[in-house]
Amino acid sequence: MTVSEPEQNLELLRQRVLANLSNRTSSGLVKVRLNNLEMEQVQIYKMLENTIKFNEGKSCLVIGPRGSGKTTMVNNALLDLQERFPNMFYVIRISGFYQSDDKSAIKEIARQLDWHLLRHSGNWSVSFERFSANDTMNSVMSVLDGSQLMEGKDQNGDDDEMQMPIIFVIDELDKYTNDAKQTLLYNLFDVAQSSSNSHAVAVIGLTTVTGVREQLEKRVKSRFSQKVIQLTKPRQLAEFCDSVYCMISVDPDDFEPSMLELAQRYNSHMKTLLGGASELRKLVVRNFYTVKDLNILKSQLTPYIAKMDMTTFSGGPIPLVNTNNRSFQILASLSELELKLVICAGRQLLKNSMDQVNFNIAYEEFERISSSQTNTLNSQLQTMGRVKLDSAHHSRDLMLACWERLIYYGLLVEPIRQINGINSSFYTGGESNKMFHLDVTVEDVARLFRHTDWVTKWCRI
Amino acid sequence: MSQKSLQGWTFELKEPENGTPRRSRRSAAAAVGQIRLTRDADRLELKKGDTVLVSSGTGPPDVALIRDIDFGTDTFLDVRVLWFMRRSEADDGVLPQDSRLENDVFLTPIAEKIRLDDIVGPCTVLSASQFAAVRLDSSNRGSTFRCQRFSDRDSYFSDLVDWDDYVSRGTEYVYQQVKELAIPPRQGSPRKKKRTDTPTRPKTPKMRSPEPMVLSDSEELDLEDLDSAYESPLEERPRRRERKRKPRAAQKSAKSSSPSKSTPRGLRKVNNSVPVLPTVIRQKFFEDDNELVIDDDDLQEVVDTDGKVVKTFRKAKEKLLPSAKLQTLPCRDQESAQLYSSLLDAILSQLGRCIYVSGTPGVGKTATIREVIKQLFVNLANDNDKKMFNYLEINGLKLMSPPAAYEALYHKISGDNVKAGAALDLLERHFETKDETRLPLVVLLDEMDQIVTKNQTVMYNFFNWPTYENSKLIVVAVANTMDLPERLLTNKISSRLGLTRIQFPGYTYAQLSEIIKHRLEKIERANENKLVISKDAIEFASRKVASVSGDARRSLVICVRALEIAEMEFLSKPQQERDELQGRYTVGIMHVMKAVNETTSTPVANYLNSLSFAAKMVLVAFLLRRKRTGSAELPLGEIIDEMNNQFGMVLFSELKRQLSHEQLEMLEVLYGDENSRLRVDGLGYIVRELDESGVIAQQQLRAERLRLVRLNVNEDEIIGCLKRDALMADLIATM
Repeated sequence: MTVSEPEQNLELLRQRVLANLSNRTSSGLVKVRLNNLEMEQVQIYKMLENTIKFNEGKSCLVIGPRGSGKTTMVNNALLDLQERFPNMFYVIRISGFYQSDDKSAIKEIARQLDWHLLRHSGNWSVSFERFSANDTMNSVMSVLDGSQLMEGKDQNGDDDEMQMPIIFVIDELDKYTNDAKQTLLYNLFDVAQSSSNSHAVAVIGLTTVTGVREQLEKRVKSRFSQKVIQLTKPRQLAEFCDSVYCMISVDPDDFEPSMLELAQRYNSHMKTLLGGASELRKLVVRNFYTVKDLNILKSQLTPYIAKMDMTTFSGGPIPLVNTNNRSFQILASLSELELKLVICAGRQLLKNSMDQVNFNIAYEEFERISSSQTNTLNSQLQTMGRVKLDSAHHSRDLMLACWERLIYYGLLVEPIRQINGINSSFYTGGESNKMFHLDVTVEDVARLFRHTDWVTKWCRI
Repeated sequence: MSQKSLQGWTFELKEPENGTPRRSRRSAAAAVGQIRLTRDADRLELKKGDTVLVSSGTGPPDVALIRDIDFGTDTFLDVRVLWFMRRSEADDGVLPQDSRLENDVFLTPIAEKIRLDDIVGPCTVLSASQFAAVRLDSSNRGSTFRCQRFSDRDSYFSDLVDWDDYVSRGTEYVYQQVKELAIPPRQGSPRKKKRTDTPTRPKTPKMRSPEPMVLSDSEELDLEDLDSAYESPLEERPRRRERKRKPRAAQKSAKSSSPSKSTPRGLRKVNNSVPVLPTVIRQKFFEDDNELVIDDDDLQEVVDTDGKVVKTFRKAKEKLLPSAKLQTLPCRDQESAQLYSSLLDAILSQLGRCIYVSGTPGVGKTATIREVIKQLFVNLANDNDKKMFNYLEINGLKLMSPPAAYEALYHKISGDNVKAGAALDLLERHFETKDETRLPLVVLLDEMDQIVTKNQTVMYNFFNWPTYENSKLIVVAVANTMDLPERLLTNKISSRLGLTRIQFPGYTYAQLSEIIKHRLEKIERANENKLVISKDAIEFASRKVASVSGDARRSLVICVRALEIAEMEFLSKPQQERDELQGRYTVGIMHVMKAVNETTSTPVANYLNSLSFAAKMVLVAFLLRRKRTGSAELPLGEIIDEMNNQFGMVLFSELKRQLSHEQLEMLEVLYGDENSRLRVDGLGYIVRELDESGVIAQQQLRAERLRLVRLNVNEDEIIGCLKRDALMADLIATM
């Protein structure tokens, strides 16, 4: 390289890139750059802006596979709004993962409302969260629901004054559709669609399930604003590369003028790497045709950038992330006897076209093969005029111990079988008669150990 | 502390002496006058402004200044004190040099009620000058103190103060002063998370007294500042104080039957009112009806005529939203007349009654009932000059559990909050007793099918009470299905439901367009015939919806969406074109069509198209294998085998061509560096993703190969999508 940059500048650049690669999306504190989602983000922004400005209650679903930037996009829009309307709305976030049922979700909403209230007014003698779920629900709904006809309440009230607009962000919305009543969704959508002059509520639901709208109960569906924003993975390789570039590049404006040139040089280098034949490009292409997932790519690129020689921008090794079946890794670590037992069990399954196997069957096969092998060995030895060889005999107890270890490793799986709706795990027939599923086939084993002679022999049927 | 706990004490009420500085500023205290307490045992006299020693359980007794003695709300007599902090409780490091005598005490702004039993005896607190004149010996060492500073109980100490001066001006003055002086001046930091569990929370009268207090000038202290001054020290306060206080609090709550106010939990219970969200005064975005305040970034460049269009859009949208307030409900005349007459009849005859209303979602059931109730309110009040009935709304889906309906009902009747079980008993009694003055109560039981429990007790009770002679309960039950009483309820309940049933049929397309037009009527007139939505468009939207569900909400949503689409389209037009339109823009059939498509199209096709090659292969392998075996569910192992077979057999020439551009081998790309080629790279991830997106359903099993996989979307849809993919074409062609 022509100009040598100071060491700390290079490190700073590296840190910035690594920061981009780390998953900070869901924190919602910093804006994260997204590729190709401007239109969708504007839609979300507009909708929420309307809620804040004109009390227009709306509900909206954002559907997209993992890593497509749903949460990040919503967070970006919220950050923009926060900038433009500081302290003029509340955001309440709930997630189907953390608050797994309606009750806990309502509690969480109450808690967050309390928190906002406390921050806003410092009044902590009243709270939404109550001891009982019913009371909590009542107190939350009494605030949110402006549509209910109440006695002695003026229906056509104040015009200029309105309650703080509340924006609900529901992560993993599909989790709340599992319940038959869908209380939470019903209430939130109802509140959103009945937003009036003094109440404004917007609901944004994020989910991975494409058909989530069909999962909504008909009452809930009728109250939903029917707005669906779908995010998809990039379809073309070029688009995908752009997303990767967006992820891996840095924004030159973030840097001091002295580093501007370096940042630009880095960006253009990355662009050429992604455009032309390079290890990086190959990695991206591979990812594109198999998983097509930016998050996996992120974690693969992190060591690449961390080990990168920043003066020449030549990357470090790219590690392979093996997301595949763990059984294969277990197979590789088995002892010889255990592996033999696996093969025997697999052989029996294959020969008799069963789908379950127990220890007795596997052991029988094991005895048969090992004795036939000693026999062939002995006959060979006999032709050579030698004495008969006593092969090592493995006791049944020893093999049973191996069998149990296989169960423990998870290669042998107990079948879930229900008899009259009861899990029949109360098996009393003794350990050696219990039936199991085998998670690998003989073929798998043969392929994995194709360079080991005895395995090939044992696998031959 | 009930009257009983006053045993051993006598009290006398002294008429307030006018003009003395002692006279309290607080009107509440002044009304009572001054109470003087005398202990029978040792003739110890207590009055406001005295200093006393108070037993603290362990250690030396605490020193306290009696702030006032008053008739209490939950105890007979409240003795409120301000605590002094002893020198031994303070941290040496922060203690000012000149206040380190053994007998130094510091007045704190922490007020608390004490029990009379805890009072040990009198003591004297003197100013610095007086203290110097007193000779300490064994008789008065434990009861004579010097006070020359105030403290916040933690690390802050005020400057030197003249105690005599303060005492002569009365306790309230002292209290106000100590509140101000004991606040560290640097407390400007933003408030942190507030602790709710603070045993010695400052009990200012502002928080406790239920009646609003008149704040005098000196009291107009910013409450916020006050809080923050107390809260941060509390967090670091030595635990000693807390421990000392606890036994007292426990004793107190054990003795008195009233809820102890010394814990936050107790305080919350007392304060049962629902908090109110803060309101924001909105900037007016539209100053008045005719002028648009341009405040949007994207409207900035929009000239006046465009602004008008945008505003018209805005107003039309507001009218069309389901939440818009309407004066009348069109197309529900028959139903509302029916409802009106039966309700009127029931109210006037003072008899209980059940009315069952059914209809699919979005046909205006709840809206109509509310409308009728409103009318009844007004009409009956006008005719009789008084309120004729009470009204309560219970929504089955807004309750966490069915029995909570009892709680809501009882709360309405008596204003008390009781648990469901008790509420049931009380309600039962309430409806049985004869009460001439009782007003009829109309209960709207929305989403009734959701309060159906297994043994249907809740339902039963709600329909049984109206049959009581004296109940005067009118239940309007609303549900979606017409035959719910026959289908879901047992005979004994459906017989009680009676025969007053009103069925809301779905709106026809004419009615739907009527509704939309009704909503837009006003704007159209105001706009001088600048028609916002064309007749055809409304017709189209109405027909579309009426053919499926007759859901008014849906047709409105579609129109709103069409408006939004048209607005977007308008704003994206070049400036010149916009000028040509002269502020007119019509929403046509095309916009509605787009909106309809948006609400009905499933995103599945879009999603399938964006899948990666390997993910599509999983689906294809599933379809191929299913075709062969004919079973709808396949174990994942078979799909894996099928995939491997296909990769071994089919050419995938298009894929290979694409990959050769990147100088990559197909198998290397798919299987990674692993030479055994058993699984496509990241297969587990791909299958999980398909599962999460709802395209397939995967059995939750530990064993990978045995998991059963089922397709969740239509097979034709998948084939249709994949056919268009060049990579898949030759595979799909064989199917």
